[in-house]
Amino acid sequence: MNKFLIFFFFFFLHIHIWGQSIMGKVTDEQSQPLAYANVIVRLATDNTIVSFVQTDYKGEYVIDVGIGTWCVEFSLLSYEKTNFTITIGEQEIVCRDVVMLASSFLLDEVEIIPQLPIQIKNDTIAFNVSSFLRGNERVVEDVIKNLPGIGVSDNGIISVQGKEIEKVLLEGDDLLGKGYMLLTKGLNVMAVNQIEVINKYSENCLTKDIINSDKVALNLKLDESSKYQWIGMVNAAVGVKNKYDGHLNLLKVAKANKHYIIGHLNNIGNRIIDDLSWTLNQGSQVGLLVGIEDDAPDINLERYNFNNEKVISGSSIWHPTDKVKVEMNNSFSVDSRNRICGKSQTFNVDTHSFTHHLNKTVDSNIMEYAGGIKTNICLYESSMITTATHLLLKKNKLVGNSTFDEQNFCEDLNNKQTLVLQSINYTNRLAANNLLAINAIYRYQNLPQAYFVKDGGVATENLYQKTQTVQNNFEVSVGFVSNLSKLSKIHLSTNLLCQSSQFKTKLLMKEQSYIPFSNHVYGLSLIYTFRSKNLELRGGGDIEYQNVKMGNLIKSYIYPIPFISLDWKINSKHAVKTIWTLARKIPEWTECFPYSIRTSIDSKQIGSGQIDLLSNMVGSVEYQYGNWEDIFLANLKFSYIKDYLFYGVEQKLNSDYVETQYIPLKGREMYSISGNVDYYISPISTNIKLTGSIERVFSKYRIKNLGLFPYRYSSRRIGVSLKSVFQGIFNFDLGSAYHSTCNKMTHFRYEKIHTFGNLFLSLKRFKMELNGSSFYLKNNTQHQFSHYFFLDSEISYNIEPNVCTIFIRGNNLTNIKEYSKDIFNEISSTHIIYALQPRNILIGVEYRF
Amino acid sequence: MKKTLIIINFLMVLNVICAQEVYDFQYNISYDMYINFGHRVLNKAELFYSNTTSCYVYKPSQNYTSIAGAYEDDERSVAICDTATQTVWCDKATNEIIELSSAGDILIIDSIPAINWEIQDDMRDIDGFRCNKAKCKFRGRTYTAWFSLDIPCNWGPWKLHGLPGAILEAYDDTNEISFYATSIHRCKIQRTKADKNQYKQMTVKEYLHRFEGKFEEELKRGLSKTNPGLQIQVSKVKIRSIELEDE
Repeated sequence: MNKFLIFFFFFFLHIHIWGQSIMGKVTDEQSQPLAYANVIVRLATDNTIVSFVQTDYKGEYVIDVGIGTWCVEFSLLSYEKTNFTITIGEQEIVCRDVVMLASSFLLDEVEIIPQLPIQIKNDTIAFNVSSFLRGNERVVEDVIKNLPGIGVSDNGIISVQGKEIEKVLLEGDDLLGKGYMLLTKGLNVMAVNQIEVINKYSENCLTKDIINSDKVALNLKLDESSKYQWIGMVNAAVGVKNKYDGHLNLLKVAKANKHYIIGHLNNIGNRIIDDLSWTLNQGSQVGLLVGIEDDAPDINLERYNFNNEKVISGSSIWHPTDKVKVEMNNSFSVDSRNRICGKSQTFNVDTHSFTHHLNKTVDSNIMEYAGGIKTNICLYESSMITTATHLLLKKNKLVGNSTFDEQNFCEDLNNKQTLVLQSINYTNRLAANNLLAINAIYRYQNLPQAYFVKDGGVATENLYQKTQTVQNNFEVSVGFVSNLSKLSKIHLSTNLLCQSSQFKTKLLMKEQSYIPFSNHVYGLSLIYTFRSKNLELRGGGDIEYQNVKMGNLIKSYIYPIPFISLDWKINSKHAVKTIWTLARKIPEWTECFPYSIRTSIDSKQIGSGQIDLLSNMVGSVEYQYGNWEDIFLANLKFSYIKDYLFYGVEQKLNSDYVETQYIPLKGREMYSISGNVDYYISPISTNIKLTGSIERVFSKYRIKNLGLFPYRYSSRRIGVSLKSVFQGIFNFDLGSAYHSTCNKMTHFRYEKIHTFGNLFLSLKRFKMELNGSSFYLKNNTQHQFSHYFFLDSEISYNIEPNVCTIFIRGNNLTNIKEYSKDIFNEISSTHIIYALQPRNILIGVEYRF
Repeated sequence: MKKTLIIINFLMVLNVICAQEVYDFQYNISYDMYINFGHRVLNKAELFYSNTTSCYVYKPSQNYTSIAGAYEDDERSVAICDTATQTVWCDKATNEIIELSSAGDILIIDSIPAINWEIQDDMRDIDGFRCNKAKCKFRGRTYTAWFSLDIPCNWGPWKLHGLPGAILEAYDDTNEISFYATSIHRCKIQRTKADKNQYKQMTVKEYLHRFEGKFEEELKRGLSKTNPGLQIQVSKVKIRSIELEDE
């Protein structure tokens, strides 16, 4: 009886253990057993590996499988691979012996370029994109945010270790200048293989190793499968109340040319680029005098931006020959925006205090075009000519309906802008150690603005104004750089700037006022650089002669602008940077002209009527501990600015507006200390970051008829954040920051506590993202904090991985209707409440090809 | 008598020759191996392998003699980098892993561990080789490995064996240990495994305890020579190593 029980026990045990199995013996042609051969079982449908074993020393194998059809593959060094397909039923055990044929393994000797997460070579740090994907990224900007040391602001501006980058290159070429967010917010992340951070970036390759640059650029390197064909992405989503969001981008990268087209339309508050003129990459321009929109709140743009935007942009680069490169870009944008806010502005002057209330709805219609063409011609191996022509046309009509202290007004503002830029540059590497560069730039800008206010439907006499700024700039510079030795070089350059501006203003029923403004600058620059393995010391400066004319007022100045900087890598862990300079400049002409201009319904502005030479001293010291690859990284920076002569303000308070006049003042100081620490906590695969900063400003201002007053500004910020890098299905970002600002003279204080939490769930084809953001805001006139909690979410499903995805996106799920912000200046504090986009839910699909 | 002496001498010579085992290898994979315990150190590594045996050799690419000291309150931590060449032998026939350091007189012997690899669905290309992803927990770390079935090889870098293809990239979840293949070569190389009898033999567990204890003892001896009145306690000495556990 016991024997039968034992027999049946092992019989059923056998069935329980084996279930379905494949077993057998692997031998060679001479029937010798082959030990340690690989046996791999795959799904017959899609070749997914299910299981694998090795044969034992007798060449035998046993492998458990489920019910179904399987492909079983055998491999061993020096033998040809072999396989068979088999269908297994329930509790079936199949025996299959296999004979492997001898064959010399035909693998060629190969060199492999390892895809390290981070590779550092000279001034370039290369990030392997796949190592920084957490599963929820769609566009390049999403993975850039995951890279250590790199930050992305809400409007897409990228900074590396706190320094804004110049541009984002695509395979070494610049398609969009400072307008690179059109690329980073549009390009599919899976098309990019590597992202390089290029320190000491110079656009002109001939200046490499000659001119030191402190600029930083990113370079996107595409996956090979994304080249030589059109790739792109189309994304469309619709929601309730006629909300929509659509996006299309096309990219082709070939050996001799690159093309990038992007189209974007939405009315959910997104703005793909703040200003199309950034694509021209031509630096700052003259600003607008009159504006009727208030300061923006410090939350995501899409929360308060009621828009209807359409943008289309196309950029191309051609290499018609080896020596010629042509770059062209054209961008066009139209938008209808609406902003609703209410503000209370309290003035504290001497012992008096009063408050204005202003509620405003501003509708604006904007039409904008920016385009340009740039040509690089390599004359010989060591010389190059670059020419560029750019055009910007902009038209913006704003209508604001306001209630100002219970009186209704309608503001109407028409802005136009025309900007033409023409530049030519010649560079010659005279020898390995010498460089000659000649630049000439011409800029024409015309900015007419027409502003009037209707009171009860009638235009008021004092509130009808036309202004026009016309500016012609012509600049020529000649520079010569010589490397004296391996360790030192001299940079000598001379430049001439001729600038002519005209300003016209006309008020209703009054004569037109016109004032010409011209500025001629001649400068000579001499810089000496000493560089060793761990140290770079630079010193020198400019000497400038400036002749400025405004109407009948003529002033001439000669002044030096010295500087010295030190960049010292003490050892592999410690590095110090320091810079000191004494700067001088003429004020902007808008700060000088002597006429009173209405800048909004409740403010006026007058220039100083003088041309003063402003001067300040700037010094900073920065210390860094650690490097990219270290677990611990710390950075501390101290900056100090002293203004010997600066333009402050004199305020005159009238019943319904404040008049601000620029006046020269002496003695303003500012210092700031900021630091951050990164530490990677290995056991929980999480990086913790601590940040903090303190800023103090000591200044002064004047109030008409009351005299000079001191102004003390103070700001403190401290924050902590955690960012996980789990390899599994779950990741998170958490953080909190406290920020307080204070006017120490009026004792007005504003505090903000911002806490955020982002959760990411990635489970094969299903992904979910939850973003929560909480704000506690308070000023010292309030007894308790105002609290706002925003919640956004997105759920997506990959119908076909990397090809088609459907998603549901919810913004402002807690349906917060308004948000407040406090700002203050020398004499007033303002509390502004903004209307927000309501809750919206969008359903969409994304297709990549 | 003479005949007897000759025979004995011959046998003795034969015995000496047989004590050193010589292995033939057909393939060699080169790796960049990174060890990052606060400071990232690159080790150049070579994996020689045949169907039954492998030999993995690695050494820091530079002469690291840094001893970093960091102060935190009243604690001081000291890091000493091991700059010697390390060799790891694996033999399926004897089911042994033998680890030898050129700087020491210790041989660490263990049986070949059965690593429980989990194959994942992810795939990617590494320099033209189609790779599958696998994960495992081994000696206190969780490893992710990308391996290619185009290269039949059961052996991996260091002790990460058992996958059906050559590992081209592997790293642990703390990024302290990582391996990147840089080349694959056919070779006809013979390497000689050292004679076990000439070394003191230990298991991994015994080795870790011995090293910890030895360092703690040396530190105590040094601190015992400080001035009277100065009290210093030695807190637990933590050894950071590729293997955090002995199983």
